[in-house]
Order: sequence, then structure tokens, then C-alpha cells
Amino acid sequence: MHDGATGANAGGDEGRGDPAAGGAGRLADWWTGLDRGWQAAALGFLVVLGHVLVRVA
Amino acid sequence: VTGSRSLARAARHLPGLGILAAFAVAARLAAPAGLDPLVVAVAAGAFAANTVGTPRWAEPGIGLGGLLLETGIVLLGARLALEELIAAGPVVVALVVAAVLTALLLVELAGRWAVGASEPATSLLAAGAGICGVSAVVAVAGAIDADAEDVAYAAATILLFDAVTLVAFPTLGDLLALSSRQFGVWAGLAMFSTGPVAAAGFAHSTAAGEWATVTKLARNSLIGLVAVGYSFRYAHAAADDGAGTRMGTVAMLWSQFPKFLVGFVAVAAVANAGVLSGETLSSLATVSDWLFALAFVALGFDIRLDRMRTTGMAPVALVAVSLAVVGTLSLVAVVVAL
Repeated sequence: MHDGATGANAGGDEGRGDPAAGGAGRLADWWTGLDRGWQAAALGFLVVLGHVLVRVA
Repeated sequence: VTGSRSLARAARHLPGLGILAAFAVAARLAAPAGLDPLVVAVAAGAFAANTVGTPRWAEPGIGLGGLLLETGIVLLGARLALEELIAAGPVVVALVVAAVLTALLLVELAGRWAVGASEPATSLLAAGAGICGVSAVVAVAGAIDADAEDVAYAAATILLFDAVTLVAFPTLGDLLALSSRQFGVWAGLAMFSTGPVAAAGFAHSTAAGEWATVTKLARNSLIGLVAVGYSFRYAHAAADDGAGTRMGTVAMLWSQFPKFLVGFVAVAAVANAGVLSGETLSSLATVSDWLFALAFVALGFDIRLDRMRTTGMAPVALVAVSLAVVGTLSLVAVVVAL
């Protein structure tokens, strides 16, 4: 349950720090290591941005 | 290889998300029968979790409930009328500070003098009752190095009251014929975790859900201050053996700050700047509603009766007293002030 004030997102730690990681892998590692609150802020803002871009297009 | 590993990692969430989506759709379909879809969503999740349990393969996806809830709250920023919020802001903030202080002091004093609970266990319950439920328990546990057993007891107690208040508050709100704003602010002041607060608010009305969430967010934003306060309090108590705060005050304040509030404020600012069309706002509200529906099903999966049975009578009595006192005082305050 919430309240997500703390802590990085649980799960998805495997494979972190793999030197052979490609761009997608590094992005995935970065995302899973991100605080859940930042993930929510980013997702929410991306949804708003997506809506605006779709309307403009 | 790494790309496919990333995909596999993401795919682990799909089965659980599928379950959340199926339950959320079913809850929506139940709406015409006169049932509140959000309450049905929570109840369906709780029923499944306590009968067949949560399949292991569904756990990663259902575990995304917190992220879905917070993303829904960020998008809720788009439908906030900033003018109305600013007008009511000072009163709501004053009520939030008063409610948090009352709950903290009440549980701390009652815990020591009436129940005789251990100091850390009491502080965890005070944080859980005063601020934002289980995450406040965890945040303060980190600040005071609490025992894992105390954390489990405090978290189970808060979860128990989350389940009870989720049903009791909307019923009381209807019986007392509170306005949307009064009920929303009351739920935000007196209930515990953010998910149940939002669910109870939206069960009353959309406007009540918005007020409940905003009031609760104001409460959540105090979590850093409370964690820092406890950190100093316990570091001082442990000064004899050379213990001290492990983190600077500003760093701790920031580490405990709910980061999704940054997104919520940013989206509210963009929406209130008038750059989003009516259609866009309406579409964002729909996305937010669905995210809440998914999150509330996941919230139901978190309501586990077996875990609640592990809590003792003393923590339950402490939190019940706090809820009764803060609930009553804040009810009187919102009726008078709003």
C-alpha cells in the first residue's frame, strides 16, 4: 500500500551493474533503482505530455 | 541479451496487472447495480486475498499498487481548482498540523502512561496514526532503529484500522450528511494510509475524493519533519553510547519527502496555467480514475486478516483512542470551519 514516502521500488534488482548492459538494460536498471515517488511523478507527467502531444498532432 | 532480460523483468508484472485490470473492470460493471465501483474494487481484492490468496506469479504486478496509486494522485493534480484550494488552504493546513500533533502526543502519552508499551513501539504507532500509515511506521523505524517485531505489530495495527475506517467513514459521512468538502477533509485528517483515505473520499463523491487526497498529501508532507524529530529524540536518548543521527537533517527531510508530490504540484501548475484543453483534462481524469481503480484492487489484496490477527490488544487500544479523539475533534473542526 502507499505510502511510498520512502524507499526505492522493490523488486527488479537482478542484473544491475552488468557492464555488458545495453541502453535498454541501463535504462531499466536506472528505472528500477528510482524512488517509487519519482517513478510516479515521471509517469504522471509523461501521461500529461502524451495527451498534449496527441492533441497537438 | 540484456534487452530481453529487461523485457522479461517487465513481463513479470503483467499477470498481476491483468488480475488488477480484470477486477477493476468487474467493479466498474457492478456500478449500475448501485454499488460503488471503488468499494467493490477494494472488497474484491480483499476477498480474493483472504480466500484463494495471492498467487506467487501475480505478486510482482499486484505489488505495483502503490505506484499506480501515486501516479493516479499525480494526475489528480490536473483537476484541482487551485483557486479553491488556495482559499481553503490555510484552514486545511492548520487543521492538518493540529490533527498530526494531537495524534502524536496522544499516542505517545497514552502509550507510556496508560498501556505501558515500549518507547519505540509507541513511537511507531504514533507516527502511523499521526501521519501516513505504514510508510510512516517504516520511515520512523529507520530513524530510531526499531525492532522488526515492533514494526510488524505497528504496521498490522494500522492495516487493521485502514480496513475498518474504509467502511466506517463513508457510512458515517452519509449519516452525518456532510458536504463533499467537509467529508473529504475529515477523512484526510483522521484516517491513516493514503489509499484508504482516497478510496473512502471517492466512495462519498468525486469532490470528496479530491479533498481527501489533497488533505492527506498535506499530512504526508510532514513525514520528514516527524522522522527527523524522532531521530533527534532517540539519538539524544542514546547519547551515552555515542550514537547520533546518521544523516544530516536536510538530507533526512528530503529522503523522507514523498517525491510524487513534486509531480502532483507540477501537473496542478500546468493544468491551472490553462494550457490543457477541456478534452485533455477530461481524458486525464479518466486515466486517473482507472489508475485508482487498479490501485484500490491492489489495496484490497493488502487487507490480510491473518496479518491483522498478529496485532495485540494494547496497540489496538492506543490507536483506537487516537482515532476516536482525532476523528471527533477534526469532525467538529471541519463542520465549524468549512
